[in-house]
Amino acid sequence: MKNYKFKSCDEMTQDVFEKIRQRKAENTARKKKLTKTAFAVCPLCAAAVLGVSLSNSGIFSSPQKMIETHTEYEIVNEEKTAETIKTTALTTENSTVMFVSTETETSETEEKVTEYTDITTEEIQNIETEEDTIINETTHVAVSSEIITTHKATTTAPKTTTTQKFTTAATIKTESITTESVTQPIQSNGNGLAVFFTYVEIGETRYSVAEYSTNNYTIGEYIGKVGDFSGQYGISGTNSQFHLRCCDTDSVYYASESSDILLVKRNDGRIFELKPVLVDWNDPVFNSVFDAVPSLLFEIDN
Amino acid sequence: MDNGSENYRRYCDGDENGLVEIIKEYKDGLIFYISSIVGNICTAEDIAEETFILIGLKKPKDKGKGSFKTWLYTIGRNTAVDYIRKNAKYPKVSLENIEISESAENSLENTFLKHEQKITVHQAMRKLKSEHRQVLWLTYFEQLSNKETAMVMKKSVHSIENLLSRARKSLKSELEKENFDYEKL
Repeated sequence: MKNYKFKSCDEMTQDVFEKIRQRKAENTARKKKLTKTAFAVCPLCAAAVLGVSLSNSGIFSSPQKMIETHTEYEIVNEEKTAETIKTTALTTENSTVMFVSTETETSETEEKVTEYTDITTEEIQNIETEEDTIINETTHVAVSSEIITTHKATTTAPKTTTTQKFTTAATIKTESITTESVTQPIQSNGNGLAVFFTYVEIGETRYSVAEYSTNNYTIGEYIGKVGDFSGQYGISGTNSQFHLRCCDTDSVYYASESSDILLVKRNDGRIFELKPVLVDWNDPVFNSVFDAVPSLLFEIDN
Repeated sequence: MDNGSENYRRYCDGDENGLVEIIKEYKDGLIFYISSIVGNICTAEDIAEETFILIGLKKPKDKGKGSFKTWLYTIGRNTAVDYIRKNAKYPKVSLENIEISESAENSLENTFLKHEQKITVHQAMRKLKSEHRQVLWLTYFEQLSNKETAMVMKKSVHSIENLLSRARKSLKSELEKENFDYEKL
């Protein structure tokens, strides 16, 4: 039978301390290795997370794709729950004058209709006439129910224009806009998702479409996106030909030549020219126009 | 505060002699206790050494619920249980090892227990179940109270009392087989 010799106290103590030192060294080496691995992997993980988050934010997708995938947009509206959209097209001898606007209670103080003509087609002769005459002439054209469709009718109406009355737009940039948000899906017109443009309102001044793909002005100072301002740029209607499409992400600039002119640059590069417009829609001469154009109602998101 | 606690505190404060004192004081008792769990004195020595390494390396906090011995024996028991769990599938104890173990245990008994009666009882205990061996060792040889024994074995005091009663009966029958008078103990 073999004899087993137990460790003495000293032997065991020696063994215990030796093994403690050995294991401490192993743990330290393991920690170092782990730290090295962590430092090597961390930048990769951070880069991966950053890449995924940037990819999810849509920064790599094209602007057109962004518009198509956009499911909601915000219409900045005035406090009214419903507004009557009035559209009229005034035809002059060689050019179509078009403006689209909405009736508001604040327009009561306005007295005259400001019209804009296509200057590029023909030089316009300014004829000073009596205000009543102008309205009558305008009514003569506007009363026709045919105004729903765009036409370039040649009429015998004299080339007329009135003295333009602008409200100053110098200080509009910093004014805060108290608005109510209306959310509805983007309307599709067959050319991709888009919204229909009627006007943008900045401060007291309402800018409406005067020209499409203008070459008259050059882009000046950037003042924000269409969605940053109040207005009715998200209206859809049966008379889409009277509306110019734009999206709330389109950029708005001052024209370099005049601070009264705004330019809306669409994502596809096309440019709308916006000019201040003051329309007294309460004038009875527009009654027949209102009858011809259906009112558009908006759902107010409470 | 007993000597064990004081020495352990010294070791935690950086004095290695604290651990040396602990090893000297508790080594043999711990080996016998672990032997009552694993049933092999050689393995018990290794596990006891592992227990001291564990204390020296990790410096676990003694919460002071019982005596230092109770705390140390609890750690020893946990280490032994871990060992059994790891080696449950493939037991490494050979027949030769058992023979060596018996002779080694006898020699250790002679040096540690000294008293002949104790040696006889301890030899009779080898034939008992592990739990009975444990409870008898802790109660009769280590002089722990039922409460302390319950803490070490992680059982309730009531179940320790029951276990102790059954262990006594088993021990009595084993001693009577060897014509030893149990009542004289």
